[in-house]
Amino acid sequence: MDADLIGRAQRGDEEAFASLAVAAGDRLHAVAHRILRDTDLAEDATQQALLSIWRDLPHLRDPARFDAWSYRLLVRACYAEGRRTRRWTASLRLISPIEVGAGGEGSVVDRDQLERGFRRLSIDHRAVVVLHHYLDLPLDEVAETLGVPIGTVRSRLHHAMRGLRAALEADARPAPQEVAQ
Amino acid sequence: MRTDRDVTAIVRSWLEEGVTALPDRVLDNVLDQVPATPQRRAWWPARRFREMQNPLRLAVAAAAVLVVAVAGINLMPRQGGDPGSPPSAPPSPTQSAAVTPAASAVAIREGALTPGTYVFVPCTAPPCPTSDESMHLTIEVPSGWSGVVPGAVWIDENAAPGGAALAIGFGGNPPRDPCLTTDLIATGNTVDGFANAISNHPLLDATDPVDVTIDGYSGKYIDLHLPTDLSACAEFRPWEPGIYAQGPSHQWHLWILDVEGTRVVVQAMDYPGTSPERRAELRAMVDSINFLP
Repeated sequence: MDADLIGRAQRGDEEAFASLAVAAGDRLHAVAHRILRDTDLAEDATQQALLSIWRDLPHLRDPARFDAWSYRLLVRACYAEGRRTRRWTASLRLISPIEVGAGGEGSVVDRDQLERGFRRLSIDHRAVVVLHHYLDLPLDEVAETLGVPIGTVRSRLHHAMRGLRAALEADARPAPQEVAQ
Repeated sequence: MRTDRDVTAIVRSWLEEGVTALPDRVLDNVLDQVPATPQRRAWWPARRFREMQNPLRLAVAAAAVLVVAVAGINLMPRQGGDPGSPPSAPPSPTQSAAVTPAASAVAIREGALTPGTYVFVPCTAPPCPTSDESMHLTIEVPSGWSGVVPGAVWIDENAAPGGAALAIGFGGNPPRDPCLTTDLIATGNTVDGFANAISNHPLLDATDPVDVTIDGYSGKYIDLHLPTDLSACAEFRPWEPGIYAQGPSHQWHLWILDVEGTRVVVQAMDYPGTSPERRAELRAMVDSINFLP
């Protein structure tokens, strides 16, 4: 991100912030949507995060850390949205299966099962999965972004991936009625 | 049976799908709110001060001179006879030790301070008021301390494990969740409103308010113990506008005073690891507070 643009926005330049928001909005929204798995919640979280970025920009001491810092504010906004449980709906869209590439040895994944497994994770765990596996951030950067020890990140990632694996394995097992037959 | 690599590949593939573009209406909504959303100024403005453009730096310097001049006028020994007569000479921030200690007081400046009497302007979040309409007070600052903003001094940058700081402000409104600071509890501008809001807050570890007096002004005293683990939120703010926890187990000692109808919060900060000597210096600074007329 342009350090000059960040500096101007830190000093209250609204046009500079608008340019920042345009540049950062898509990636923040993409991350929020992947953490929250809900379009409305993700839009609200992104909006809240962008306003937090504007409000707290003077606190950012190193403009080079803007991206990581903005993700931290975004995850905070996702926590806040996550607390609004009344807006959490159990409605899950049935999504068609996807083919996994060569690494998946041709197996078919039921996205719905993965979606269910992911939604069972806490925001803490989802954030680690998304930052590491979607943004490709190394674990130490995930730890810095979230403000937690790297051991905590490893633990959360292990727990999350175990949960997702369980969801996938459950999908692979025969349904109860099939067993009964 | 899937391997870990399979599961990772599946999850990564799944995460790649989905929306990426932020709808224009959301962005428009944000930008519409920006003009009405004040930025929170950082408590430690050192970096910002260095980044200031020259004209702004000059303006700040001029404002600081004004504070010194105003404070100097207020601190000049009273003339005998006609109480309305003006001082016989303009004050100078560089007056020698030949004058009274109070008359040698100078405005707090950023950076290391020589021991002496300094003029504070209540302010914990720049931009700070510097006009002659602002309240002023003097504090005896010992050796080793540095100015941060016109209302604060610190040592070891107020960082754990042994730092400390003293800040003078007006208090604010505690958020229901100190991690979010978006839903504030209105305290009005009273001593009791602020003291009770802090003391009774379910997420703040605070003592009950007790009566206290500083420089003849009465109020309430509270000890506030901030969390040992700050990982739950980026910035833990007990009130807004205000500063945030500067480190784990930060201890805030609050004198909430009514100074002629204005609420003033004297905020002394230390850690469990702060030395007894530094704590004594902190306490001596509080005891030296003298509100200027």
